[in-house]
Amino acid sequence: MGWRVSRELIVGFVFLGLLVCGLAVHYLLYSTPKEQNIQTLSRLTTFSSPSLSVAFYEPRLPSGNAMHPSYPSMPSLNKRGFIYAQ
Amino acid sequence: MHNNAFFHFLSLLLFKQKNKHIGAIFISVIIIFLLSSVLFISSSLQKSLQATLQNQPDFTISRLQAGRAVDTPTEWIEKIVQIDGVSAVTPRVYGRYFFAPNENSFLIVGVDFFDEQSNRSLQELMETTDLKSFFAMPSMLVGEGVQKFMSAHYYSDSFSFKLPNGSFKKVAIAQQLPSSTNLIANDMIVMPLELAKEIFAMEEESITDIALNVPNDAEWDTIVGKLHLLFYDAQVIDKREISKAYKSLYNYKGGLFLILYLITIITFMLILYQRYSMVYSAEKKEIGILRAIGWSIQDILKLKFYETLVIVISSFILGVVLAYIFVFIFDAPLLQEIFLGGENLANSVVFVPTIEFGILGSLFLFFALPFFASVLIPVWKIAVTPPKEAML
Amino acid sequence: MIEIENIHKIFNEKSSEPFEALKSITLHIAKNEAIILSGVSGSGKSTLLSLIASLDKPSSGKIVVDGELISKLPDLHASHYRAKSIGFIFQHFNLLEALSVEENIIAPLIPSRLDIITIKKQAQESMQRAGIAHKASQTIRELSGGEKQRCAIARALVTDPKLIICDEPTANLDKANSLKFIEILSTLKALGKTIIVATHDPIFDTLPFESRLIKMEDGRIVDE
Repeated sequence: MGWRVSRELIVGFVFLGLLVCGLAVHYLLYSTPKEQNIQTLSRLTTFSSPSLSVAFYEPRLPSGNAMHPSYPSMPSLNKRGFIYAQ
Repeated sequence: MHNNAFFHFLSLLLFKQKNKHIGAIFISVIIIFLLSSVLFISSSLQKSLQATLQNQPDFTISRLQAGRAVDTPTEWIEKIVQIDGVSAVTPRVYGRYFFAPNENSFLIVGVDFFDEQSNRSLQELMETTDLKSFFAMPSMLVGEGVQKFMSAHYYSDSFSFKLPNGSFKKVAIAQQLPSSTNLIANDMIVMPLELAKEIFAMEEESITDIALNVPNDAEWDTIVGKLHLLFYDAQVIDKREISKAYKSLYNYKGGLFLILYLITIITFMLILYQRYSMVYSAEKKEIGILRAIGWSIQDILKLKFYETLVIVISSFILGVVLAYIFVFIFDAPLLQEIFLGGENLANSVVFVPTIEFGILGSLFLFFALPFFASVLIPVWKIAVTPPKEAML
Repeated sequence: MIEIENIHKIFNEKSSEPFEALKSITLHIAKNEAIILSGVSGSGKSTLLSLIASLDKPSSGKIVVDGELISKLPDLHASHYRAKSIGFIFQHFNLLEALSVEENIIAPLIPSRLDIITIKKQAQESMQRAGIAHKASQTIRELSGGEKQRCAIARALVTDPKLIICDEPTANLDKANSLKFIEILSTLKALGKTIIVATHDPIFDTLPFESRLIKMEDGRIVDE
């Protein structure tokens, strides 16, 4: 009677052991061809940056001139012309 | 043989008082599952990116004006080729194409397909479409994300790019890049170099940047110096910097994340500690009874140690295995978006199984040691009180 | 067999209101003797029992059992002494509710390093002696008060102790079960065990075996 419970513990550990073995088999036998394509493409394009799905981050200047709200006669805020002007 | 009875009794207590342990196991499994999922994903991404980096040119050089990248003149190429120790100098044309109506953007990469090696790579990637028709008319290869986006907007065979001069350029979609390349190619469009230049309205004599190799590592710093001498307005990026950037991009082992992990674990341990040190707990009575019928403090600690060991090991294994299945077999639905973002084109990548045993080991220690402490310290405190008091 | 010399037990010794539960108790108990400690609750009977069973330590004085000074034993030896020499039957039985009768009875033998087959054999004998063998696989929750009592007896007997200590053993039993308990006690007495019972149940006034009645009051022995 009491032995049955002991066996439950053993069965539990055998189950965990099988899980670990399954994991190991998957890990060791994982075929690399899937990786091959990505290598070929990165060789072709000489690019390897991850394709992060982020919003378009390049500086986008608003169209038209934004006026300074308090001093309309001042140069607009989004122009840096005064710095680089000859 | 003499241990038999002890383990027999241990398993009795474990299985007959399942309800007492199930809560602790459940929370442990969830914590381990989340932590190891994040670690699996980050190490897999890092590994894949580092692997692709191996095929990358050692340096890229581009022109910088007033801190802003501008087109690089092709005449630079001839000058760079003259430098001793430099090989494989290739022009690159790329840039982001912004699709204004949806605020989406693609990465257009121009490739010189007349180059022998590029041609071979193209053939490897394009097993299905024949190359003749690819070159017969303006065509492109698109990443899975781009393909999905285009077909959702009724561009199933071709897409019309809006050129800076206001006209449209129709480019045929030759093929979708294999989904296994999604990690780098989800938002990528590969097309002939000249076509890319036309879309970006680049002048004949300019390119985006120049890639070059320096086979002798020891020469790297000298070459960088020479490049800066040649071109006062050049920006040189070397592979080591990119490698560092990738490492820190998915570094979920340190910094803020480490603190979050620690907070999670400490909170859980505090709950456990509270539970085991409750004054009128069943735990206390059980320990008192065992003490009264002749168990020594040592026996009690031994029992609780093994009880905790079984709980810790089984929940750790369960958590890690579940995380492995979740990440490497189901490709981490939901969690993937956190790592790759979802602002632009939705990406779904295949994670290559990567296990960093060192990190798993430290995770186990981080988890097991406080777990043992938060169980055994209160148990010891109860065990040393006279059994008569503990039984009440 | 048991020599109790001038023991005192003070609770909350270091606080402002210490409570002296036992005051200068001296008692000699011979082998195979049956002692009935009687007195109202709070008279110190249970405290005296727990000192004899080494569940607690006296504040002063000494207790010697079979030549061994148990009032000063370190934990490991005290536990060993409890496991080997004492069978304790508690008022509230103090059984592990989640386990079955048999599993409760084997519990005292677990630290003994015997193998499980020997342990089960001993448990079986003990259950038969206490008359609970037919309920071996039932959990404690499913038992009646009398059955729990017999389970507690079986657990007390499983290590074959020389000394049986009972704290208010009949307080939670009806008349029939109490008489049955006394019957079991007289068998134990016949087997040569030393028995100490703390009770205020009048049923112990007329026992079928020879016994010594000791009256306690306010932490002292008033009548022997």
